[in-house]
Formats: sequence, C-alpha cells, structure tokens
Amino acid sequence: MKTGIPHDRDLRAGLTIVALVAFSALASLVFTPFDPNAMDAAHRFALPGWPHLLGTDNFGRDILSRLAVGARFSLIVSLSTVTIGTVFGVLLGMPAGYFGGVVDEVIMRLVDALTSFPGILLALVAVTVLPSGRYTIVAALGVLFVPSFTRIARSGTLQFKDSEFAASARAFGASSFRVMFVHILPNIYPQLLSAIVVGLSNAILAESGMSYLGLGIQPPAPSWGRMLAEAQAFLFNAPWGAIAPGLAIMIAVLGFNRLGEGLRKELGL
Amino acid sequence: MRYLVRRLLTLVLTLLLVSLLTFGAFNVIPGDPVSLILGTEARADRVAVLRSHLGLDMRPGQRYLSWLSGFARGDFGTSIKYSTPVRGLIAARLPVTLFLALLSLVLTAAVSIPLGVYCARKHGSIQDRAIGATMMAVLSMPNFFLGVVFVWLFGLVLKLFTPGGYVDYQADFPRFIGYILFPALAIALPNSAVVVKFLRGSAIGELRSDYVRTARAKGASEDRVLYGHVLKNAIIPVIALFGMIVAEIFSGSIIIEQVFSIPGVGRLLISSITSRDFPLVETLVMYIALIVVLANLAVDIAIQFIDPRIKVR
Amino acid sequence: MSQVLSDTILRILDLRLSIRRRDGLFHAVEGLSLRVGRGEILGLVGESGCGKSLTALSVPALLPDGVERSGGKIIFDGRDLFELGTDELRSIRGGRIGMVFQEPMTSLNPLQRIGEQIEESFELHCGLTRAQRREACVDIIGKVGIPKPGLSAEEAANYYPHQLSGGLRQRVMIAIALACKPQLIIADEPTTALDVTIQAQILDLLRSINADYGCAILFISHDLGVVNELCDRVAVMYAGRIVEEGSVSNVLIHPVHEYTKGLMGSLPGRARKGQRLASIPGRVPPPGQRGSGCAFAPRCARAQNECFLALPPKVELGPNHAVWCFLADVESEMEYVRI
Repeated sequence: MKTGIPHDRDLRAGLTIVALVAFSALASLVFTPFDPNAMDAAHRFALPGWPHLLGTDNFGRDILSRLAVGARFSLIVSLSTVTIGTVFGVLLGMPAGYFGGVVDEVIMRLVDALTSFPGILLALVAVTVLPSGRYTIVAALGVLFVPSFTRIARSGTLQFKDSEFAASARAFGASSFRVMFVHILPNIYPQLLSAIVVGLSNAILAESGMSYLGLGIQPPAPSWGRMLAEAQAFLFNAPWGAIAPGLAIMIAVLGFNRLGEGLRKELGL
Repeated sequence: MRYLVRRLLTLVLTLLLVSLLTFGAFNVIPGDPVSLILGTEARADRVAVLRSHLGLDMRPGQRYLSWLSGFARGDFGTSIKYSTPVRGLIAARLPVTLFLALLSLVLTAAVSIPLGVYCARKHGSIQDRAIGATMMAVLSMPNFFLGVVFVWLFGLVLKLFTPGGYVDYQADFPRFIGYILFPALAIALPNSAVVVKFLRGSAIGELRSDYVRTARAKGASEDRVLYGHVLKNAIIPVIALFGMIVAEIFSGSIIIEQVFSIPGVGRLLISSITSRDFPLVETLVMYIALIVVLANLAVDIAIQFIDPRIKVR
Repeated sequence: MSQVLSDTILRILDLRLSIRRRDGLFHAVEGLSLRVGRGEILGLVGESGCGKSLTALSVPALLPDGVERSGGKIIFDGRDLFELGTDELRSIRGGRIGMVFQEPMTSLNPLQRIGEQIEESFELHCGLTRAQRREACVDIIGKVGIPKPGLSAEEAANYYPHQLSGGLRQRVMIAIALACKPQLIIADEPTTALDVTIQAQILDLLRSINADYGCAILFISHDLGVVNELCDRVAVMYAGRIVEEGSVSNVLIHPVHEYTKGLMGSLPGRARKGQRLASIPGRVPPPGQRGSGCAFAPRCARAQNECFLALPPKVELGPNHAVWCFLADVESEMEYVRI
C-alpha cells in the first residue's frame, strides 16, 4: 500500500471516521470528560453545550463520555465477532475450496442452512441457550459471520489452488495444510481484509440491535444500543438523548462501510 | 408436476433440519435447563416436576420425536412463565405480526418498484444520485433507530399516531392499520433501499437490450417502454430477491415490535428469552423459521409462473 | 425542394454522426448523402465498422448512447426529421418508417407473446378496436408467411419468441415493421444471422412486400450477393462515406471504385454469408484514424498523391451511376451500356 494521503474519496472518508471512533474508544481507557456512570440529577437532559459537550441523559450522565466508552465496547465486540467469523470461516472455507468433493458439499450445505435462517433469530437462539455473561453476545453474533467468510475463503482458495506457486509447493512435498495456510492464505488476504472491514460495520449494527433489546452487553456498561433504548422513554421532552447514540451508530457504520469500499477499490478487487 | 413434488420434498427436509437444529440448540447446549431456569438452590420436588414437565426423564431421541409429534398435532407445550399453553399465547399474537409483515411487504413493493424504475430511467442524473445517497443513508441506520425516529417524528411531532397506544385489530381495524402503518414503514424503508438498488441495476441493463430498441422503433413512448416492456423483464431477478426480503421483514419486525410496543410474536419472543421460557422460545423460533421457509418456497413457485422461458412446471 | 424530389421518400444530406468518447469526439459517418425513391429498394453496402448500421439507426433517431448527429439533414417525405418534436417523431417511427433489426433472437420481448408485440404496432398508430387489432394481427401473420401445416396464424400469435425459429422470428419482426403500412422499411442486416435457405425466403418476402405494399426499403448489408438479388439501387460505403452508388447492374457489373471492385472480386459465387474481405490487404480505419484524404487511399492499389491530400469529388458517370474518386475517367467509363 502506498504511503501518504489516499486519493480515493471513500478511503479518505472511511479512514477519518474509523480513526475518530478508534481514538475515542482508546482515549476512553484513560480519560473521559466525566465519569460515564456519574449521575447528576441537577443537570438532566442538558443539550450540547458547556461543560457537557454533547449534553446529558435522563440521569444527568454525560453523553459524550458514555458514547466514548460505548465506542470502546462496540469496537471490542465487533472486532471479536468478526475475528470469530474470520477464523472459523477460513478454517471451514479453505478446506472446502481446496479439497472439493464431499468436504465441500457438506460444508457448503451447512453454510447454506445457516444463511437461510434469519440472522437475528440465530443470534437470539444463541443468546438464549448459552450461559449468560458479559460477552455472550460475541459468540452469538460470531456464528452469524461464519457463513460469509467461509464463502470468501472458499472462493479465494479456488482461485489459487491450481496456481503455479501452489503447484510447486506441492511438488516439493508440502502437505495440503501447509499449502493452504502458508502459501494460499497470504494471497487471499486482500479479499478477507475488505470483507473484515465491512463485516465490522455489520457487527456494530448487529451488536447495537441486540443491546437495544437488552440482550447485548449488560449494564452498567454503556452501549450505544442500550443508551437509545433507555432514552426512548423520554423521547417527547428530550429527543437528543436518543438521537445522539443513534447518530453515533450511523456514523460508525458508514465509516467502516466506506473504508471497506475504498479498500476494495484500492486493492483492485 | 415433478418439480413441485421435488420442491415439497426439499421443503419437508429443510423443516426437519430446522427442527433438529432448534431442538438441538435448546436441549443439548444449555447443559441442565432445570438449574438454568430454577437456579441451583431449587427444591428437589420442584426440580422433579419441572424435569418431567420438560420431558427430561426421556432419552433425547425419544424426547425429540415426542416434541416433534406434539408440534405437528398443535401441542406446543406450556409456557413456564405464563403457565398457559404456548398455543394460546401465540394464537393471540400471530395475526398481529402477520398483518405487520404483510403491510411491510406491500409498502416495500409499492415504494421500491416505482423508485427503482424512476432511477433507472434517470440514471446518472442528480435525482438518481440524490435518491441513491438517501437510500445509502437509510441502510446505514440501525432499523431500531429509524423506528425511534419515526416514533418521534410521526408520533410525537406530527401526532399522526399515539406511541404506545396500540389499537387491537379486532376492536377497530382501520385505526389498527393507522397504527401499524408507521412501524411497517420503518421496516419497509431499509428493505426498499435494497430492492431499489437491485431493480435499478436490473432495469438499466434491460434498457440496453435489443427488444427495447424494437419497442422504441415501433414508436412507443419512454413510459410505455419502461412499464410495458422493461419492468416485466427487470423484475424477475428482483423476485428472487424477495425471498431474502421476507426473511428480513420478519427479522426487522422482531425489533420494530419492541420499538413501537406492538403485542406481536416478536415482542413475545424477546420477553420469553429474557425469562428463559424454553418451550415458548422453541416454538416461536420454529414458527418464524417455518414462515420464512414457506415464503421462500412461494417465491420460487412464483418465478416458475412468471417467466415463460422456464419450462419446468 | 420538396416539389423537385417528390418521388423521393428519404433524402440524407451530408450526414455527420459523431461518437463521444473519453478522449474526444470522433466522426463515424461524415458527409454522407443518399436518396431512396418511393417504392425503391436501395442497398447500403459496406464492411463492419463503416458506419452503415449507425446511418440506418439515425433515420428514426434510435442512435445508441454516446453517438449523436453532429451535422447534416435527414429529410423524410419532405420534412426534416431533426426539426420534429418528440411526439411527431414517435408517430413516424413505426407508423411511417418500419425497422427490421439483425438479431431476431434478442430483438423481441421474451416475456410477451408475439401476437401482442405485433398488436402493439397497431395500438400505437392505427386506432383500431381490440377486436380489429386482433384481426389485423392474424392477417399480417398470414401475409408474412408464418403459418404452415400444423401452425395456424391464430396459434402462432400465442407463441412466445423462444418457441419460434430464427427465420420465423424475423418474419415476426417484419410483421411488426409492416403493420401500419409504412412508406419506408429500414432493414439492418436482417438476414445475416440466418441460414442460407431461410435467407432466401426472407428476401423473397421482402421483395413481395415491396411489390404488394409499395413501401421503399433501405436494405443494409455487407453481403453483395444478397444486395444483388434484392435491390434496385446500391450505395457502397467505406469508412463513413459513400464511395460509389447507382443501379445494381451498373455498380455491381461495372464497378468503378477500387473498393467496389475489391468487394466484387471476393465473391466467387452468389449468396455468400459473412464474407471477410480477403483480397484487399489492410482493414477499415476506425473513426479518428481516417486522415484528410480519401479514406481508402492507404489500401488502394492505384492511389496517387492527390488521393491522400483531399477528399475525392463526386463524379457522375451517368444518370444512375456516380463514384467518389480522383481516378474516375468519365470518357472511358462511358463505354459500357448504362441501365
């Protein structure tokens, strides 16, 4: 990749937004303008201004600080979710593409069955049957991402399995697994990378949805979805409390989406 | 005829697979459901009652068959939380969700088809790009945020409906429709965005076809070309998309019912999950999966009848 | 103007068609003039890439995206088509000018029965009731020779395009073009995609239509054999310009232009389909690479200096034979009998 400021508009916009989100998330580890959980009954429903740059919610908690911490959780959950999807996707998709035949059939039937299920239903089932915990949501959502990454890994493997370097590796006696993971995998990383970034935007959407329903990260950890749900009761008097987290989700999703698009174009896919 | 038989067979197999997965999910993974539900300090006799109630004294294979046959007979077990048969709980709420889903489907089609054709006709223009940008913005919005915005805009600001003031469909049908119009719109808009993008692309491709040139050579107006010739051809791949759209509508309704406080199946599902009411959740999941699979079948069959080039009937 | 040429149905004057590409505007057709008399069959002949299809499409203003008319006039029945409003143009399209295209497979709507597609022509121009339209449709299906033992006209009308053979589909296209009894039919390579035997049938059909209905036909082709069979007059096109024109017997039996001679020379027999020009080395220069002199000069065996520097003038060799060439020697050419 070239150094310097990229020319593509998508890439630039995406990078800016993602950087902003990541910065807030990381910064929140060391510093937030206010304690995100500190309630201040005297200053409830404040609109953006000073000292609360983005106002306060129904308990008087500073919205900016809560959004920043929420960013951290969103990123953690979505990164973990997509990681699970990618790891299992690669572990399933590469052998499917490489070996073909029965292995391919079985794996792809499974993937098809998984995709024909409405995603949210799958996540809901998972959340119900798995032991409850702070990060149960990660496992529940991770399953949702496995099929698409499996498909990408599989098609990428199909592209390269008969290429020259793969053939010569085999000629030198490399085992199938070695050919797949040491030789082919580095070549399919561009497709995987842009899919990962777009996957992150979908993961943020999914996680926020589950949090809205109360099935995501448990309080008191602030999550964007949960913030929106709590603010909904006060929509009439103070819509800002709901709009702020909603916009945060939208901007983050757009940012990752644009970044993924820009990467796809940059990597020539 | 043979095709139909084969398709029904696939349907039955898919449903069996879904039932297996559902049963497996709820009965194999959770470990001991009794302690999950009652906690570890439960009294022994209550544990025994619950065990026999849940059929845990049977072996898994037996239990699956008993559950499956009960399901086929319409016996879905008893809700733990409400202590009433699951069947009654669902029967009260299913029509609401079905109305909502149907209205969403109709709205999706009603919005996306004209818009898709319009964008294809004006592709490259400012209007086209403006609509494209709006659709993209709508797609990046979480659907519950869109729902909340609607509650605020149409309910609180414009006062077109009373948020939380759900009207029973049996009591006052017109006002019921007036209420679910807005949640249906919230579900329909993101799905419309997807269909518009797809239809637009399909229609632009069709506009380049030779038969469009023939139609123009006959002296047909652009409107006639678009609606009389292009639309029918362009919409075929879009119909295949509608299978996925139906799944999305049901998924969307689960959250939107929560946003608008609609007493449908989705809201029941969420509350039963939080209370870990296994029989209820199990049945609801099976139901929704069933509806989605049937909808996909309907879409497949519809395609057979619309395209005369497909000879399989 | 219109008084003098009242026996002319179509008059193209100095037509220039330009292709708008990223790197500029290129002229595909330039300075093209031709004339189709009422009830006459004119063949427009040239290799692929010479711009003949674009010329045909420019008459009913059906040029593809990116191609535009940048100069010249197209006068149909005394009126300049470019000065007409959209509605008037649309009533002429299909109503007074019928089009037959090359690919019958893709030129018909796959989802509509052919009866409906033919009836659409009636609906758009003839103001008949539904029953009358149906009757007229069945009638014209008969006229274009679709019915055969085992297939009545009514049955055929209910067929979908994919259920018919290429030859039958082309007959449907002709029926559509003919429906409103147009004054001019423009046929763009209508037989190129068909078998030789079917080709002959379609040519017969066109000939009988011309005789029975009196409509003029502008017949585009790269196949001289076909043009020889069907047409009264022929215009030979090279790289966007006409290089020779006249009656078929004059031009094809006594070609004057080197290019026409080359085209004739590559025909060992009659009715050859899709013949590549084997005997003249080189190829047709694409728009933008044509230079300022005679476009054929680089390939011409008899080219002189002046051929590369300026466009050759029109030389009238007689009442029904003209050529655009510096080398045409009027006296010597006049030795043969002109028809």
